[in-house]
Amino acid sequence: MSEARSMIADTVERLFSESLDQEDLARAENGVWPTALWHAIEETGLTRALLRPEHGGADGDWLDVFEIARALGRHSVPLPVVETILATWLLERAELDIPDGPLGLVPHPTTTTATRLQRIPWGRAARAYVGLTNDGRTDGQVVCFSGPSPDVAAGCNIALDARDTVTIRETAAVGTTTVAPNTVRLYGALLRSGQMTGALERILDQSVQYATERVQFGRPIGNFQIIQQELARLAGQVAEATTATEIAFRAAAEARPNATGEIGAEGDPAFEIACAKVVVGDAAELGPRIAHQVHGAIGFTYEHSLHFSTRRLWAWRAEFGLAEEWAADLGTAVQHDLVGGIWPLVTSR
Amino acid sequence: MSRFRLDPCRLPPEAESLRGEVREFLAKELGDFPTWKRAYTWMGSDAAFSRKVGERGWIGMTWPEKYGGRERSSFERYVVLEEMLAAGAPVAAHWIADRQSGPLLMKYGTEEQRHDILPRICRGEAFFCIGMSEPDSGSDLASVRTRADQTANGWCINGTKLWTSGAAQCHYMIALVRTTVAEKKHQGLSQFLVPLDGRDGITIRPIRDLAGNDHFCEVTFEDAIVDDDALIGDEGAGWSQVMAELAYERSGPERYLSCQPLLAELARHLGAQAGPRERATIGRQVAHLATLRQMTLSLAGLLDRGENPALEAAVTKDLGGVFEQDLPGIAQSLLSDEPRTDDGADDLQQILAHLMQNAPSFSLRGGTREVLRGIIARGLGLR
Ligand SMILES: Cc1cc2nc3c(=O)[nH]c(=O)nc-3n(C[C@H](O)[C@H](O)[C@H](O)COP(=O)(O)OP(=O)(O)OC[C@H]3O[C@@H](n4cnc5c(N)ncnc54)[C@H](O)[C@@H]3O)c2cc1C
Repeated sequence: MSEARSMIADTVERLFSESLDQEDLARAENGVWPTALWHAIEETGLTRALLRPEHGGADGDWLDVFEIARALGRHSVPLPVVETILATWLLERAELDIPDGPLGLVPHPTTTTATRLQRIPWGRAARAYVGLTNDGRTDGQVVCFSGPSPDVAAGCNIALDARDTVTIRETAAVGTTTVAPNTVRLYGALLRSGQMTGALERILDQSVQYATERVQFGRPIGNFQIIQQELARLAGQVAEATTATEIAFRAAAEARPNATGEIGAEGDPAFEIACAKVVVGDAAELGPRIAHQVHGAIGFTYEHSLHFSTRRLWAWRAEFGLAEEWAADLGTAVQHDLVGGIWPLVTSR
Repeated sequence: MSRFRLDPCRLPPEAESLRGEVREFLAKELGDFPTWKRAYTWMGSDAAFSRKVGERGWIGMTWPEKYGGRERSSFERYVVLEEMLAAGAPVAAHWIADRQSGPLLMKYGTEEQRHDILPRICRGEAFFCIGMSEPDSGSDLASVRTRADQTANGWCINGTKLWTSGAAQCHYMIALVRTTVAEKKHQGLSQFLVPLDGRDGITIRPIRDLAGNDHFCEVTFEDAIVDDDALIGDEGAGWSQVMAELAYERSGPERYLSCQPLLAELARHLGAQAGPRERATIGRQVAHLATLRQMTLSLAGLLDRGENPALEAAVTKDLGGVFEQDLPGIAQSLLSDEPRTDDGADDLQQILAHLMQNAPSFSLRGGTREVLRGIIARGLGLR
């Protein structure tokens, strides 16, 4: 790991472990925006991690963002940080103004005028809404709605993170350059994979810890072989998810500037991102199951913190493409022989 | 921060440039090799093929030149291995010598043993088998009972080794035996270089496996005499040596590629007409395959830096074993044809038949799934 990257990893780990506890998470679920934490995040430059210095950015790369996303996931941070990272990156590429504050990332293709935006993470708090126009075939244009007070209908995912419906009446600012039509889905999947990796690491740590503390039949349950075997399986899920995700972020860091989001194309991270969302999505099934089993009834309570991670894993795996959908994309590329066979594809990456 | 040292690793250019050479070699040498035979991967044995690999300098290729090696990098070796496996090349004859017996001799053998044997391994002329398991000692390897006693004529070996892969075709066995009865079972073990040259007292009986192949053997020793210098390393140090040997065995790329020929043939068979369910299924396997390969590459990186990746290897092997064990069932779920080996069976049916029947062994050989998970649990601090 580069020195800059491990410095970022340390910084975000410290920031989140110091300024977010279980009560903050519960308050956020009740709709309280953690103002101080948001400011700390912005001041640390996390939301502009990928931007050039002239836009107040840190000139970081996607591997830096991996450490940020992973720590956000590990601590269940209830704020639209990865969304804002992606939105600012899109705005810079499109040469549009980049407002301060949280940005609403529009997960689905949109139009440029009066429209209803669905499932916007913390749409209620966003200063502007950033998305792509496209019909799924031609390149997309980055659009930004930054007019005053749109209508917001509150919604949330099962982790009670805000997912709002936002009704826009104005016309968007439209970027000067186009990007690949699946850019939001692709990089959204990448960022969610990063957060999910962090959440998986968290539930492994918690489960191992709990297994050494909880005593039944006169000994810590971690002494029982069946518990050891299950935790070893969980560790395997975490290891595979981490590798898949880190490789995907590396591919994003090394992507050609004009990559088209095509699976198997050279210098295009789509293959690695698809693999990551599949592998992490699969881990999000087995991982929480084992973690909850090891925790017994206490892990099934609201009082215990395990659910902050497991509910997010279940919510996040369905965003920006399920494992099944990305698997179908991979399978389509292979079966159409767009890539010249499985082994040549795998070894060319 | 991570529990595992699985940092992404990229092959250096000299290793990548070897890939084309290996593919060319395989295309030529396996031009008329039946597709279904590729399903045997590293269980398929062909001495003539091994000699050709040796001629190319691809056996013992990282070893010093004075022992017949080519002093190539461990990454170059990695590329040769993964290409051979993915192609389903019949590498079994030389595989064990290249992977573990040679390195073991390099580390613990005498200078005479090295000069005598390593060059022949490199030429594809000396094949090795692993004499660890016994009738009453499987997972509990340290309980082996085969024993060697020092006599005036040399060491005298008595006992039985079981499940010894390829023994009937091999020139040597490296056997783990008891040389003293110690209080602790991990003590008093030693390793011997046993020539399988038809000498008195050694009987090799092939054992038919469930699919009808005579792949592994029972090897019995009745007052079999080997020279004094057949002892490898130190008397009594057998346990730590055998652990080092197992580390070589467990960290290679063969642990997730056993079903690669099936996946390739299945994808070819489904073709561009594959429906949504088929595509998603193939795509899911590709995602895991690509990730397991990256994990294996990380292991190669750890090995290249001289680190011992025992924990990371156990994690990767466990995942790889589940992956390759799942594949025959997944393939079957997409095919209406039954697995077949009789006349009229097509390539895919034969490959499916072979791998379906061999899949149970994927989580046994080289340490069972339960044993691997025990190693992982220790790494988690639970044992
Ligand atoms: C195809 C094939 C090739 C082989 N080739 C070789 C070879 O070349 N040389 C060689 O030496 N050996 C070889 N083996 C043997 C292999 O190493 C053993 O099968 C393996 O070590 C397990 O031993 P076992 O079969 O006696 O099973 P056992 O050890 O009897 O285990 C049976 C079951 O009990 C479980 N078990 C055992 N102990 C425990 C425990 N403490 N906790 C939880 N579960 C436990 C095991 O995991 C397994 O599921 C080969 C095996 C196969 C299938």
